[in-house]
Amino acid sequence: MFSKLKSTAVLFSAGIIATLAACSKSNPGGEVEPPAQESAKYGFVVQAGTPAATYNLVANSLTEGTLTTASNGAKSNYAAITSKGEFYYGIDTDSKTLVKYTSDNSKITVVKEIPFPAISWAYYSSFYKWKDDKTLVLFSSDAAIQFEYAILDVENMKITSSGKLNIPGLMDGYYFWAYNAAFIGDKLYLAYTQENNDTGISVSKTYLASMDYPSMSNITVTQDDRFTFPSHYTLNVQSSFTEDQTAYFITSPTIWSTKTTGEPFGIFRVQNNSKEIDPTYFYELTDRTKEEAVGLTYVGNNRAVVRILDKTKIKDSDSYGTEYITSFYLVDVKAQTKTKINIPLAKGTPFAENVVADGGNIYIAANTAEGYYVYQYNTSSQAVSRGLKLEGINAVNKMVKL
Amino acid sequence: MSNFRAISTCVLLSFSSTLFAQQYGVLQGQIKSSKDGSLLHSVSIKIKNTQLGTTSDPSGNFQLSHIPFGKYKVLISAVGYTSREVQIDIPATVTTKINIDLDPSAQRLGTAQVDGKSESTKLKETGFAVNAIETRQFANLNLDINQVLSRSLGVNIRESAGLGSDFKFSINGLSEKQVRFFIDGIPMENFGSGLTLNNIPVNLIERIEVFKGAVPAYLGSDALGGAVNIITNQSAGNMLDASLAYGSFNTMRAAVNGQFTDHKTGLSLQLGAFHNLSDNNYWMRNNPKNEAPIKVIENEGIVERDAKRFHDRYRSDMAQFEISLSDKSWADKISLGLTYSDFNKEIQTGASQNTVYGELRKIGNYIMPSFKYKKDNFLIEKLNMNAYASYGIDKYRVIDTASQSYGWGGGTGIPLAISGELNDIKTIYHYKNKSALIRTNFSYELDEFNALNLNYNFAHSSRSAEEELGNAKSNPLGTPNTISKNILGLAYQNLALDKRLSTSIFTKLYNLGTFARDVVYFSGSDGNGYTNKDTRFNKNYIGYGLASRFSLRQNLGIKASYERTYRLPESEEMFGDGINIIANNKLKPENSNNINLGFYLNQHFGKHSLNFESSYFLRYARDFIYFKPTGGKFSSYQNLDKTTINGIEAELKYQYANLLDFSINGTYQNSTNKSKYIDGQTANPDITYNDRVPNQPWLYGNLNLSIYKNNWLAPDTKLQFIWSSNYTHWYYLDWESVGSKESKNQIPTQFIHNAALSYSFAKDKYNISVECRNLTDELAYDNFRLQKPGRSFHVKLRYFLNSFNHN
Repeated sequence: MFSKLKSTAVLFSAGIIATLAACSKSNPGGEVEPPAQESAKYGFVVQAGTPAATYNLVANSLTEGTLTTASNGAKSNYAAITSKGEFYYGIDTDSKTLVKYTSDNSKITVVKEIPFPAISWAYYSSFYKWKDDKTLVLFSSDAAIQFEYAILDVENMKITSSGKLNIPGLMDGYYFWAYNAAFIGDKLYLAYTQENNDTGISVSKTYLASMDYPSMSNITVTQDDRFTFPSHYTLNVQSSFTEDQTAYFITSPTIWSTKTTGEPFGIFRVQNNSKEIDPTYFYELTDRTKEEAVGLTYVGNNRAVVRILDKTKIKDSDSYGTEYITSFYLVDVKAQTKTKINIPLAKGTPFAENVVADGGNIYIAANTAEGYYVYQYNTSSQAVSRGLKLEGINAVNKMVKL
Repeated sequence: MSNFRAISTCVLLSFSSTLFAQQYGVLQGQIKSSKDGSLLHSVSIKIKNTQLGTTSDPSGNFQLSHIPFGKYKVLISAVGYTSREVQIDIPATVTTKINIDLDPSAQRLGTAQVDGKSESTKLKETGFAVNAIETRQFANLNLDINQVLSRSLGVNIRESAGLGSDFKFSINGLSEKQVRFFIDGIPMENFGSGLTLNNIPVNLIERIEVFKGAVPAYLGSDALGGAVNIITNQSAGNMLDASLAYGSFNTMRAAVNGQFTDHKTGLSLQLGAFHNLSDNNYWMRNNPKNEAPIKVIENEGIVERDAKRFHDRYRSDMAQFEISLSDKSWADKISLGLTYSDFNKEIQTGASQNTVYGELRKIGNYIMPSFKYKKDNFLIEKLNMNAYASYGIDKYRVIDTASQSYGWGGGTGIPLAISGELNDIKTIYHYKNKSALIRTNFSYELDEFNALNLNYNFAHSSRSAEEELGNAKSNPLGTPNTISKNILGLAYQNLALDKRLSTSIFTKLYNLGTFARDVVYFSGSDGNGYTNKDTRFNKNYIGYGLASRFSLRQNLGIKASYERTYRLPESEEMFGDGINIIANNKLKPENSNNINLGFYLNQHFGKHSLNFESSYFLRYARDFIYFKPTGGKFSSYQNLDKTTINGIEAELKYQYANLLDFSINGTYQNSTNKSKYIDGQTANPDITYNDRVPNQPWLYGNLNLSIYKNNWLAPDTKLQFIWSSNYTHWYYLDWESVGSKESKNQIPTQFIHNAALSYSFAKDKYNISVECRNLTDELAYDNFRLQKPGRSFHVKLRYFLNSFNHN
């Protein structure tokens, strides 16, 4: 199965669900975002053409104008993992090197490229968390049975530490699946489930491994039987955040990522100094038989944007890319409320970082029946307006504030 | 390998007793028209019951040498003239001279009398768009079939590396599975994974037929865009052709092709065998200019520099043995054959040269018994039939157990604890493919002008796999998947207007039956999700076509061919792999309307001979099958709406007496995106509309030159200089309209030159050649970031004995 996934990844090239950033707005440390500056520029990583290739683009405004790939955009041979400021951090998927680079509308400029043999990188099993602005922690799971990590000093592009995370308790005939991680201070929390080799169905449990950072020691595993599948493809869409010393995670047992059925889509949390999932808290987001929920993009003040998908229109994996099934909601995890963002139903890219919070507005790149636009949502007035038009673009994998 | 050596030695020994007691003569002559005394060129001169034959030059002269002492009948035939048969006597070591006058036939000028013409000429005079390549002219060179085909019109071959590497073959823009390959009319997939176009040496074959667009019904297969039929030695006489070549990158090629016939008993033994070996350890050049850097890890950093390939050794062997009985009342020929092949292939890179492997390898072998039967006037007069049956077992294993990761600097020293190089877990997959084939062909000649042909093919294959280490979590081929195809073809050939108009109308009935275990399906009964189940499928499709040729004058004609054709989906395409590739039972076969329109002109002025042919081609294809990754856990094969490919190709050939051959050809093809909107969404226009489809060569051509010098240094010798150049214009990896110009990836123009010098003495018996490929050491890429070999040198020794007597 993993070989096939790997070959799929190769065919997939940069990938429809290509990696998406913890954009500068989604600070995992829970810090409040600085106010937007007028000169702020925005970066896009998009797929264009069929067969598709990856292009990097920049725009000065998300509220007006057109951004086109017609003779515009830097062809990228890298799979972007994340960005911070003007710098992207990505993988050269051919040579498995780690690359720090910048981009404008004409070319990619490599700042530094380093060998990256520390972990076995794959788009479907790798993930990351920013510890702070200078430290990117990269994770993967070798053959889905051995977690690995590497700590990257992004200023010097140097791996300062790497190794294996020896998570105990993997059952015979099962593999680790659905990975999601968060920091609370110097504690690292890793949520996952176990999936059966033969059936591809996961156990009805979510496991939580907690450990000390950066030593990655004192590993303790607890489990919660209320829900399973604490997200997947978290390399490609944020699915956790930390605020007020509390880490929030989303469960997301989508048809896209598992054969598991009948499990809830909701938010769970881990409190500071705890080694367990908070047994008093679970916010189920949808009617699990009719809707799916994907992604937890932090926008500040205990709020995150979640995509809710109309499950009744999903006929197979292809439906995610072809059907208008996606609504966007602003979720308050503390108050356990959700507010629909009134943009038309969108299609495609459920696993894409297409949300940016900036200066009291939330910008969402959405492919709707109106076309491909960046929609602007004013969090105070709840008004939605159509902004930057995206032309010649199949999918936005990443929209970030540079 | 030891088997191969033993068989070769046996055959050589069995022939040797007869080889050295021969005495030979020479036949010379001139052919004239009895009507006006004009000298006739291109007249066929064949010595019956031997493989000896030639054609007259523009001065009407011919010479046949190396004819064993004896009495023979010689058949002389030409277009527009009545054939003649004459008796000759060849005394030892003496030149016999004959002058022949041919009477114009009653048929009018421009008729196509095919008797006496070479098979290639006959084929070219059908309505099919076809390249017919006589490979004997290349026999002294160290070439494989791909290298011969890549010089011919409208064919493009993209190789990923050196000897034994993967390649992508295309004819007039359609490629890979859309083109089918045959050996003597038998689908090549029945010959196992060890036999490929780039390991069969040219000595083993007589000619190659490349059908573009429309494919004759007698090649019973679902070829969407064309077919290549490789014809092995078809002669009835005795012969031996043995060669050994050695060259750069420790490349060795040996080939033996022999036939021994006892005319008294009708018993015939035939052997074809080859051995290929190459280290393929050529230099990979750091080429950042063409986006093809070679990255080497040094001191925990990355440096860009040249590096030598170190894990690309390739070995393959094949031996084919056949015993036949001929000229019996119940059979014109009946044969039993056995084919064995094996290979051992190290794999150096993935789809890009930046993905470097150091231990991954593929090893396999194949065995196939076969049976052939041929009878003219079968049951009734003028009904000819031939039948073929075979059963092949193809076993190979992919060994992915590397202990460490690799880069261009070799082993990194970083252990791979769990994963292999290819898969995320170390595996040794053993694949087993079994294939049975029954093929029968009936042809019935109604009269001189009308004929019928009926072809039936039944092919059944199963595919299974086991993982030796028990590491793989899931095995999609744990239970064999099977696929069966019945293809029935019916063709009617007609010659009209005094044979100036030749027409073939044909239809093909395709039946596909498949069974697959553990197919992944979407289920709606208990909520949305996926479930596994076994699935069977059986369906029929009908294709049809027409190929026509009309001679305007004796030397000028036009050709048109059309076929509505299908390629049936394969098991994985339809049913997935039971794991991540899900079934798509709505998948339709690929289908295409193929049109070729062309003309040809043959002109002779004294000793000069000029041929020109050109054609326009159109491929109006629907429902292309392609793998559509969703990025989620499950993906599937889908049909792509429509693609149109058109283009033109042309070839000019010039010959001067027996001194010089020159040809130049070129192909321009235009394949464009016709989707106006992205995913059919009218609010999202596709800016690649009308763009050329990327990552495909669209302008390419070849130049070939041969210069001959007979009797240089000594009598009965021949010196030959051969030059070939191949040009492929650069093209984009991705869509032209998308992205900034400076960041677009290109596959650079390649202009490769090859030169060879060959010297034959003792009347072609002994041959030696030296050859240089990629003379200018150009950095050549057929694919983005996959560099091909640089300059290489080869020497080939060849021993050739034709039509020797055994008693």
